Amino acid sequence: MTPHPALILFATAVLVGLSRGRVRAGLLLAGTIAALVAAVTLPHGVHWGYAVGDYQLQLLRVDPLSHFFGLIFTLIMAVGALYALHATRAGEHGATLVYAGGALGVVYAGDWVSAFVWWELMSIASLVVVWSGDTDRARAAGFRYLFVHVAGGSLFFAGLAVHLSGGGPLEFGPFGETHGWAYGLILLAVAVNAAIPPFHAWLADAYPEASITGTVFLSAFTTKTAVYVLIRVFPNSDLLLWAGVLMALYGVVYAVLENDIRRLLGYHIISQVGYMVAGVGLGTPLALAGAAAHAFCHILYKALLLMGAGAVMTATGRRKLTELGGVGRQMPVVVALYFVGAFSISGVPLFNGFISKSMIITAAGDEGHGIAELLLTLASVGTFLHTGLKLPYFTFFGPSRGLRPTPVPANMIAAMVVASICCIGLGLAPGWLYARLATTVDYHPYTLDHVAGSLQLLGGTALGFWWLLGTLKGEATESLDTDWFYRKPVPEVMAWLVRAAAATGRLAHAAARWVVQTAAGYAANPLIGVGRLVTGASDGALSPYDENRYRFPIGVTVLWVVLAVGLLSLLIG
Amino acid sequence: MTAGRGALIATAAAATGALDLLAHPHGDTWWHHLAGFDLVYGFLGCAAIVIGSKALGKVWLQRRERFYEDTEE
Amino acid sequence: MIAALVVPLVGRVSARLAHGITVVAPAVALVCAVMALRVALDSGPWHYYLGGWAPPWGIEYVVDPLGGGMAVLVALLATLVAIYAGPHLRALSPRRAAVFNSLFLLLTSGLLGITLTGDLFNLYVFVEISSLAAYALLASGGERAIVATFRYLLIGTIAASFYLLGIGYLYALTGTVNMADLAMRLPQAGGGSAMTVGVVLIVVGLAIKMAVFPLHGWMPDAYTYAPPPVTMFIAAVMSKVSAYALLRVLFFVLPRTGAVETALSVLSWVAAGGVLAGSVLALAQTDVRRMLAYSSVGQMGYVVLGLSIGNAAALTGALLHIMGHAVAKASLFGAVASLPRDTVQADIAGFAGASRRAPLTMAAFTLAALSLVGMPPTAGFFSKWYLLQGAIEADAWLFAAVLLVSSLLSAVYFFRVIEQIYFAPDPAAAEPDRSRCHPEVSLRLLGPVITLSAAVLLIGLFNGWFVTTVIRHALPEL
Repeated sequence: MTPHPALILFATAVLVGLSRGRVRAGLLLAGTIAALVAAVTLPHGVHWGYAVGDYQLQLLRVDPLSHFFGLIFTLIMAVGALYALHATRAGEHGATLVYAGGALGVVYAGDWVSAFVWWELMSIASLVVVWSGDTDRARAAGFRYLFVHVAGGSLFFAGLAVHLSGGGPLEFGPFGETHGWAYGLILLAVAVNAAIPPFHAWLADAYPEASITGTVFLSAFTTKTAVYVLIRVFPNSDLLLWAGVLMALYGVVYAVLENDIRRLLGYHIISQVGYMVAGVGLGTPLALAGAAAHAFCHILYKALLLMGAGAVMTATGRRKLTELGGVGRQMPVVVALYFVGAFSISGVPLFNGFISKSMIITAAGDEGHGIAELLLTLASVGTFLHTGLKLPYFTFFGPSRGLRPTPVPANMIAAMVVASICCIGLGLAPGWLYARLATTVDYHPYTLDHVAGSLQLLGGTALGFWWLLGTLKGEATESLDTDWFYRKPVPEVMAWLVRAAAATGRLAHAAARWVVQTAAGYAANPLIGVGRLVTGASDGALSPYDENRYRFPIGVTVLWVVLAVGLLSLLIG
Repeated sequence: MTAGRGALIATAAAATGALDLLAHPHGDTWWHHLAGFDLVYGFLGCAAIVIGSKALGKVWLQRRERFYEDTEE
Repeated sequence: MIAALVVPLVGRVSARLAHGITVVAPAVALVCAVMALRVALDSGPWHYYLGGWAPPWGIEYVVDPLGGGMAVLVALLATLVAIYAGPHLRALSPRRAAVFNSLFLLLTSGLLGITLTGDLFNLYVFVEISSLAAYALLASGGERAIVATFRYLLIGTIAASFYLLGIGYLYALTGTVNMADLAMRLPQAGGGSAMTVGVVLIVVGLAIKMAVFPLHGWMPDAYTYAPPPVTMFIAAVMSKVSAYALLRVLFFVLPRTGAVETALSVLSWVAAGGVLAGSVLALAQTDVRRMLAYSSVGQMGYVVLGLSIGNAAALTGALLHIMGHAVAKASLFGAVASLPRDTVQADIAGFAGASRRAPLTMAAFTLAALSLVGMPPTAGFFSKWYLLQGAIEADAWLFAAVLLVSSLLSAVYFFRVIEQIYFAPDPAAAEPDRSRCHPEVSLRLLGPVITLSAAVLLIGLFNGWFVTTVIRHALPEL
């Protein structure tokens, strides 16, 4: 029986929760590697089909695209698990495993309903990962995250309901020609998870607040699962193309203003996902392949970058550029590994970003979208500027602030090494990646023209960086983003709503109470009350009913009984 | 950084620009055929991004830290 | 089934024996109900005439899939709550415990009677029986409970009186109160003002009992201050049974005339408002029990919304929601009350770190909460799914939106508690006291709560079976 990689991860989660120490670490690694092996060896086809009511569910559908994504998801889970071996909270391990399992569930789902169920599971699991940061900021950010993702889930739910009740196919795939409500609602839901502006603010808000080890996982799954859905369901859309270009630049602009190193990297996630979204929007085979390839590579190098940032935070206890500087000499290994990630994201030849990002940019050029091509290239400039130049300069080099970094745990270094090997390996042998893509492409990144162009771009950027160095140092500020909309006005609207609803209730209460009290006054002594009503007199409070005053004498009752019997017998007889 | 470093970078960048003379441009747009285009684009682009973003920040986006906490719950 | 109606003769026997009977009787009733339901499903409704008098003069009991299903639900919850009430009863004096038991059985039999009767007036009788028992049980919770119960009593009596008046009008029109008979005669009687008044009175009366917004004022106080087992049972079952009565009257007895259609439209708007208002008010509460009570207002709004939309999918959703919510709410109230606490109040802050003190109970709480939020694969997700489908089929887009927004709101107010349970530091842990090692709460409290939570999950996972086997047959002909 073919094992579903997600189930392997769930089983690992249970086992990890029940064990401690070395055993737990061993189980964690074993489980995640087992899932990776499962993902690699899964045969193509549909397995695990169930009929529920009128619906035919497919829980494990393996085709080239899902195989591809399953591969990278299980790989990064294993790497992240290695990085997180030292984390003590069992809940965090469990949450990340369930989170990854949910992502795998969506990837391997063959029908919409299953996809939705796994999607919701991911929301909850990732929420728990955010809360694992265990600070007040983490708690608050987690609630906002919850709000956004439940809203997105509801949109997905609504779109699904419309789609299915309109007789749409259950098969998880493109919508065809008609783009009705179902298309729009689900696209919106996916856009939230993909962090397409203006629905992106949750990412930079929540990701930096999770624990050091948790953020690595967060960066990998939610956004890339959304990209997977986009590739599968929404290719070829001008809207997405320009949304992607906008995203790419948006992230870069905000990153200039960022001071917290993980928030800066978070905005870069938005930027890089923009490339993938643009590729989906372009819709050509090269572009779609580029989007998938870029997702693969991005997961690797972004995790590496966040691991590096996490290592710095673990060693120094600092996360802001204004508080860091000059620690490079004491952490050479971390610096080197970090730069592998930085070169990858910047598209330096020989590293994996080079082979994937350029597919999208070239595809844009091939389709005649010159402006898009230029803008995406511009975003590349910005990316190198921040992750390759600004962040490392102000963290590792530059004026020292007298920080004394403590040694970084060995497992974190090991995980970074693994990720680096993958990045460099892919950069050196792109054919391996291209062979596994869903669509076969004939693309050769290592042309002289291309390499030269990339190097020039990087060189020019470096020059610019040197020239503007003074203005680039971090500032201790916070930037407004679209989350302002629900952080400022919403609490006030909510408070108003609560007051309105409570007031309605109180009004009803007051009315009822008035009725009851007036009635109760009369009920205390109905005889006098009626008498008063009749005569219109009004004296003080009604005295309570005094049973002694009004008790019928027994004789009168006997009289009534006799009269009644007599009357009845007369009538009946 | 010192001027010496700057000179180093400029030399490396110029060298890459020279590579362009050897390469066959691919791509349809007119700018691909210019030598050293990417170099200039990189430099100007970097400047544009930094200056533009900083301007946006100063004028509109940047607030003091704990902007939300002070006025939130 | 019949046995349960005869049972409330438990008198001043020894406390343990009385309690034992209280547990066994609903269990027996459960078995009978299940058997009766199967008969009803296999061979059509099962009729029983009280005293051998045939309708329309005699009182008739009917077990059809709808009534039978409700009876099973009531009996099941009664059994579980009776088990749960054990520790609570041990704290009372033997006499009071015996009284509690008999009242509880009275309440159960009243509710069962409502689900199984085929006669409108008989329904009223059982409504009164169950209400009176409920008032007494609710008031046993202490001083504030007495005040709250008094308000409930007044409003509940008004509700029952409205209902009775409504029946009176219908009787005047047709000369019968038997449900099947009415269904035949009412279309011939025409839709005059008498019928309109009758419909209005019945609907309003039942709506009050169901705590439909804005007639819900009695509920939060009553639920909050009552003793825990009482809240557990009443919150789970009473409003559901009233909803069942409404469904029965609106769809099985009354013809689909103008008056009924209008009533349904009005109800739908009221229900939508209730869903939102209930959720918003729940958000504002600090006491978890009040929060759950307002949540019930919202959740009953879903049911009424489903009823008022009236197509097959929506009614399926409403019925599934009745099942799911009854089970989930009982589990929630049970979990809340079983948490060891010093104070009477159940603040959200009091849940801090509860996952370490009572992991299983809190897991049950979380699962039930997720069902009310509508997370797959719990029951709540599937009932919302059907309701949403029904709304879409009926082009009721506003209601669909209301459904989704309220899910969002419920997520927020439940997750506030969940966050405290799992992520807030436990204040008691600051002083580790090895000598007083609190085990998780006793099995009698834990068992029912866990069973109910598990049921929430099972109903969700197997909802297809429930729908095809029972609910599809319980739907009225539309």
